[in-house]
Amino acid sequence: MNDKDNYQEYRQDLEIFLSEVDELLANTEENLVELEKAPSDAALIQEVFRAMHTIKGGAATLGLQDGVEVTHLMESILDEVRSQGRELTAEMVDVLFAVLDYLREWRNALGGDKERPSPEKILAKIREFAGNESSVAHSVSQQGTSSAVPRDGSRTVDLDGDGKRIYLLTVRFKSDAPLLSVRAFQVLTLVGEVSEVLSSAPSLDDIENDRVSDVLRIYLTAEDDGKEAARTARGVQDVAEVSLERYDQRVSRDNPAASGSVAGGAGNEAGFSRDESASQGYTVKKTTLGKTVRVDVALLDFLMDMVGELVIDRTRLTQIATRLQRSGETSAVGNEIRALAAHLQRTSAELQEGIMRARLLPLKNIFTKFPRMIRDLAQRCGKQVEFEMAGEDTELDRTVLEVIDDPLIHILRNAIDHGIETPDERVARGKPPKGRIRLLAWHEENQVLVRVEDDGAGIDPEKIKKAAVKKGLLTEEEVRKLSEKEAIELIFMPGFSTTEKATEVSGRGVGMDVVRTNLERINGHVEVRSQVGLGTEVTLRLPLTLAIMRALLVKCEDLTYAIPTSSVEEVLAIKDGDIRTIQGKPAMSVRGRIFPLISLAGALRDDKWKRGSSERYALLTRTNDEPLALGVDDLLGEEEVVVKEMGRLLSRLKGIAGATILAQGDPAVILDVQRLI
Amino acid sequence: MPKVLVVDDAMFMRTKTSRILAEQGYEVVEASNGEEAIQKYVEEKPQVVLMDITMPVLDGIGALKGIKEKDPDARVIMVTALGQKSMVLEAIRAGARDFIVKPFQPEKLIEAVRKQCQT
Repeated sequence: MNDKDNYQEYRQDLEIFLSEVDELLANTEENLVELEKAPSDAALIQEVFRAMHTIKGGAATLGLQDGVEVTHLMESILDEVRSQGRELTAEMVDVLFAVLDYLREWRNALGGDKERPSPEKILAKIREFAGNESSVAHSVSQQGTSSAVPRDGSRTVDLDGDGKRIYLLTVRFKSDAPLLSVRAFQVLTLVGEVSEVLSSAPSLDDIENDRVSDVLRIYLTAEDDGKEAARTARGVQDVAEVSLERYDQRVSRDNPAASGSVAGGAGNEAGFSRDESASQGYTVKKTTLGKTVRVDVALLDFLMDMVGELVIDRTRLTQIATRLQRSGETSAVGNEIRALAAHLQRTSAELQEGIMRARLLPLKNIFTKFPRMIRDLAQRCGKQVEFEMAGEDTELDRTVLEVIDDPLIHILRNAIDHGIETPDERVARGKPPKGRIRLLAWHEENQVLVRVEDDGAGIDPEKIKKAAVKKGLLTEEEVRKLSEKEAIELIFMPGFSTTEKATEVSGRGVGMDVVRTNLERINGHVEVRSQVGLGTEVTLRLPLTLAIMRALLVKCEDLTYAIPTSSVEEVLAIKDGDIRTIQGKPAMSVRGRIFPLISLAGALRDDKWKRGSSERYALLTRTNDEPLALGVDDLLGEEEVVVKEMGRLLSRLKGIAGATILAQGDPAVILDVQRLI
Repeated sequence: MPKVLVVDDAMFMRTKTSRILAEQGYEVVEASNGEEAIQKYVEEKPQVVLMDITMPVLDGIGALKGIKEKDPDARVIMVTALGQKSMVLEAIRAGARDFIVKPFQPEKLIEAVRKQCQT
């Protein structure tokens, strides 16, 4: 294998590793937040331990010494808690959070092929911390020199520069081998007896769950350079082929650290353990076929556009059928085409629905980061908060998910900053010192509701009224007439913020007005209910799916209109010489075809032939299968818009398909070119 | 010649296995359930044990564990049917060195036993 192939394989392996790391870090974050609440929860400690262990195994396999070292130390701390009864203190959790942050940075650097952060700072932090109590460094070196098989069944291995090398043992089984997974398990077990197995693909976990192929890759180190391991594997029944090669060499070109010496006094250990709970290893998932695939959203969008095209074709088919029928003789063909069009309609509708469903994602995707965020914010504000989440499996269109992410962050920040009182204040008001914030999500008919509840100070309508007057948003007179509910609604007014000065936490230039606008863009809605002294409840009402289309934004007499791109064939700049008069009406000749030219402004005013003075562009389109050029003042660009119904009365207006709120927050009418004339 | 303990409750399987091994010159001892197997292991000290999994009184996994307790270095080959995947996994976790799948070809059996005698 040449260097280029090696590098490509390394990048491939790395990508799979990184996606696993993402998952593990997200879980770890959740677990740490939980752990802070329940520091003696053995299952949580075990989970965090396992995540670190798995990352360590993968990092070792890829020759990423810094990652190995950091995860190893973190693992050691957890191990002391897990098996030596060391108490998990709040400071300890802080260090674990810091390690997590480091690993995130590390992961991002790896993903972007950038220089990785130096582990020195975080290692020093862990060691200093360890020095305060018992010594982690000590326990590490002890592990490194103790018996060959430590308590948890993992083996220790020295990975530093002049120590052992990593080898890749590839075992190919006979294709007709019975009980393949057991055979793989046997090989892994026996090889583990004569070498230090770092990880394998498929992992032990996969093997035990029957996710095997006829190739087993074992990453190991051994005194004898893996010779005995290879011999052992060859000796196992149903093994067709065994190969052994240096692995770290294959990646060292890209990772100088892999062959360099490791800083710090602590020995490095990469564990592989036979006990199920800590044995996931570094799974190369491409060898096992899961039931899901990752799809680029751009592909889904593309598919959606294609469905749009299908719908247009169907309409044209129907028109052709109608024309044929009118001509009389070929009505049989016409009927056939009509039947075909009807079928095409059903198919495209189902296709559309299928793609809509593929766009759904569970709220978990954005919820997972909240526990950590709440924890950090509460700490910074000197408040105590218990945070609860429910319904994170509720699914929503990914666009909706994207749109509500920032608003939710804002609402949660508000709950901590303005809602929950300081512990002293709370006690003085007869409340428990710890405030409570709940984030809930559930389905209700055709909507998804997401609610943030807090048991804080609530919103005082009088305070809001005063603030509104002070900011010059309303007069004293106007404010006096407002009900409590209406007063609370004032927080949605642009430029409103109840605190004099934006605090570090809430002040980010976005207010509740932005929250409301964001939600309205996607046909959503936000409601606030609050009671002074008892708390606040902010509820987001969200559509399950969205009708999204790509639209061309055009300007006409200072108003913005959205025109579905699917109904625009071409856009031309109008030059004076282009316009001719045919039968007394303006028309354009484009490459020999004649397009009657009507003015958008005129058409909207029922005077379609009256040319607007400032029309500079023509959209070539067709209505009722006839070519048509539509004159507009200006082109503003293309955007993906969410179609909103106009309501019962306005929807009857000719040529208007609906309305939308553009990315910048301005409303725009969506035109139906077919019905415009 | 090395001694092999053949453990199987089915007389047909047991005698067939024993005959194949005897033809190769191995000295063969037999047991028809797990408890008997542990007892015979202690008495006869065979180099290799061929252990069926499903047996009355004490099954193959129990017998394997019993033997391993008496002699951690015992070399036990599990004899299994295709549907017993999880049992074999457990056996390997408990220290079984190898397994063969029933119905087996004589050569497979001989090869497995020979390997255990060598190591």
